[in-house]
Amino acid sequence: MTENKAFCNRCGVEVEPHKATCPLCGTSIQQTEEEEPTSYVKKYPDEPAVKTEKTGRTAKQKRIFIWEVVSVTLLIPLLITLFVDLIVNKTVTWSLYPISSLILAWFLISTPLLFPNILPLLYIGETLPPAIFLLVIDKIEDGQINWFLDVGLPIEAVVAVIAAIVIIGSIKIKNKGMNIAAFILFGAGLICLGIDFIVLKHTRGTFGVSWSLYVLTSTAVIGGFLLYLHYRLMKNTKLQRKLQI
Amino acid sequence: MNSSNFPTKKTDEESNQNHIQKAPKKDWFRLDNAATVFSFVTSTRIPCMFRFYANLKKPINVAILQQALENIIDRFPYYKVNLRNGLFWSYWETNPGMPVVIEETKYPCQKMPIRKKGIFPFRVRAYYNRISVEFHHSITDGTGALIFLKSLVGEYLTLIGVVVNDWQDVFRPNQEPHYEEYEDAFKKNYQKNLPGPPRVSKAFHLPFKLEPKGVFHLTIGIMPIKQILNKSKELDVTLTEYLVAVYLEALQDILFSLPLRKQKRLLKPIRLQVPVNLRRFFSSKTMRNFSLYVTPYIDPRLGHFSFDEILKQVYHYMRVEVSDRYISQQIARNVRGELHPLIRLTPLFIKRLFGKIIYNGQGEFLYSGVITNLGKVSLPEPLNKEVENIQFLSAQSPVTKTGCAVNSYGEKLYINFGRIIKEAHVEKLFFRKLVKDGIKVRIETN
Repeated sequence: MTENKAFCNRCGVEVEPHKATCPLCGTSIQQTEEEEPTSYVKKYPDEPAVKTEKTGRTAKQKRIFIWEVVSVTLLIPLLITLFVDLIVNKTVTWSLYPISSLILAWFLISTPLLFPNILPLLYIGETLPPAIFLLVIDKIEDGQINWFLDVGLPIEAVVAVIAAIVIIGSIKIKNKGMNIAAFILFGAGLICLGIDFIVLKHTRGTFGVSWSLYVLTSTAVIGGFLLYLHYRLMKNTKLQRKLQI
Repeated sequence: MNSSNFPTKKTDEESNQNHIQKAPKKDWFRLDNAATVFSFVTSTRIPCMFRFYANLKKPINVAILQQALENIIDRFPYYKVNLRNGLFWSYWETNPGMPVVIEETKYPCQKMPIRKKGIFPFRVRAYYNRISVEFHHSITDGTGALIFLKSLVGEYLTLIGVVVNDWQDVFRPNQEPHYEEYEDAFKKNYQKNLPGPPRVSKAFHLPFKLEPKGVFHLTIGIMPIKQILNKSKELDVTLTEYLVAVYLEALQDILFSLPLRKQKRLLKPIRLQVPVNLRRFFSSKTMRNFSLYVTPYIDPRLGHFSFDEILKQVYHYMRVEVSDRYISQQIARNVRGELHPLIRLTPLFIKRLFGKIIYNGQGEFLYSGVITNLGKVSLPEPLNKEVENIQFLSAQSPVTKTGCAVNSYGEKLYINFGRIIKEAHVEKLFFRKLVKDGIKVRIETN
């Protein structure tokens, strides 16, 4: 069977026999030979390699959807406790504790879902609400600030500062692995040290630490071991290529 | 400092008197100068992918092709790698996996997640009678990719029973890689004291809207090589010079067909990027990047150029610029930047931020289009009877928007235009000019 030949009258080029229009100028193609079309295999498959139309939810839409579901889920126990308290006591009393806890949980969950890539906002969203929560809990008791300034706020500050150092260090470090676990352990040890110091000062009025030293020693030894494993392992395998200048 | 850590010729000769052909087994090596830039700028819009493909006379058996790929890949250890990040530079690390033949797609040369663990810097696709290899430009240039395709096709045809006596430049699975195949030829030929090439201004760019990401239109012009060679001989120019002039004229016609205000705004030199295989000028067996470019141009601010004037300008430009002296200046500029102590000590993530700016400033914005002529492609005697043709396709660019790759195989010349805009004006004007010059052109598209 001879192959039909088709030409574009305007461009003067021969085009593939199945083409209805010229690929260069769009002019309609007239077949020169009136024969049955030959069997033809498409030069390229039909499906585009990359779907140009968006299908399904984007990552952002998925996060917002999860946030919506979580918010509604937290709202249910909040309303139940509030109404039970109101029905029984005719006023809001004990329900302030679960309500403030639920609001704290809502803040802690919302921030990474709504602002996953804005690190400063993420950090504030995860550290400021616990501080406010502690203040609220302190005030619920008798309307006065009792232990918040001496214990709650300093502990919160210690946790926030050490967490920031660990997070930034973990992000910046190039070769991630066991070294991240070591940083978290060091951070946990230091947080215990800080809590111990603050609590001792508040309860006994003395400067010093007690139980946290055991924690710190353990975390330092295990963390050090993890760092040794990580960098010793890396030294023999990838350090040279990783640090080529 | 950032040169490949493979031994220099001297040390290898000293230490391996009896095995000078053999490349030492290394599990990582540094990126060359061009590779570094390509690795920085790669994105969905700039995939930095180019394709070589062979249309066989019979449909492909994918299982046999996969076997051929597995047989041949160890002959190309410098492609069996994965891009990894160091603190200051990226590097190629041996990839323990095995590449897999995958299906064809409507639009070729799609983005490759080059930095993802386990990803090879190339892919092999099969469709009906076509074997395609798509390479990321950070691992090699056209020369390396063509040898890889020919070796893959050669091994495939061997597995289906074709017997070849003289393999010529086709690599065979039982051969040992030569140490020079790994070399960073830019560094090897770097001359420290040469001044850089003069700076050039921004060029005219087609004022058409880009298609959605991923869309890549192909327009392939197929014509008898004799006819077009006769035409260029008649005009006393080479085939490349003739095609460059036709391309420049097409762009000029588009510029002067625009509304006056737009035309005035876009009136800039029309400059083409014409890649040059540096292995022509500098002795090297490298299978990695070793090409730079010359940039013939016309300046429409000086008025409308006739085709004869364009041809004259291109002819003289090419005779002067395509020389090892001027090419060495480009090598000096590129490598000098990379060797600067401050740049070397800059962390990789900062280098990557500036990579795109350098790419645009030194590269893409200076050109209106790309035309690359690979010349004659052939296969050893019995293989060529099994292969209809071998063609290639240059990488897409959101700045030049069109590009053109030229090669001949057998009696035909293949001009593969790729574009990421809807309008086929450049192709239309280009091929109409060839038809007007008496050349019979057949057009195929994807």
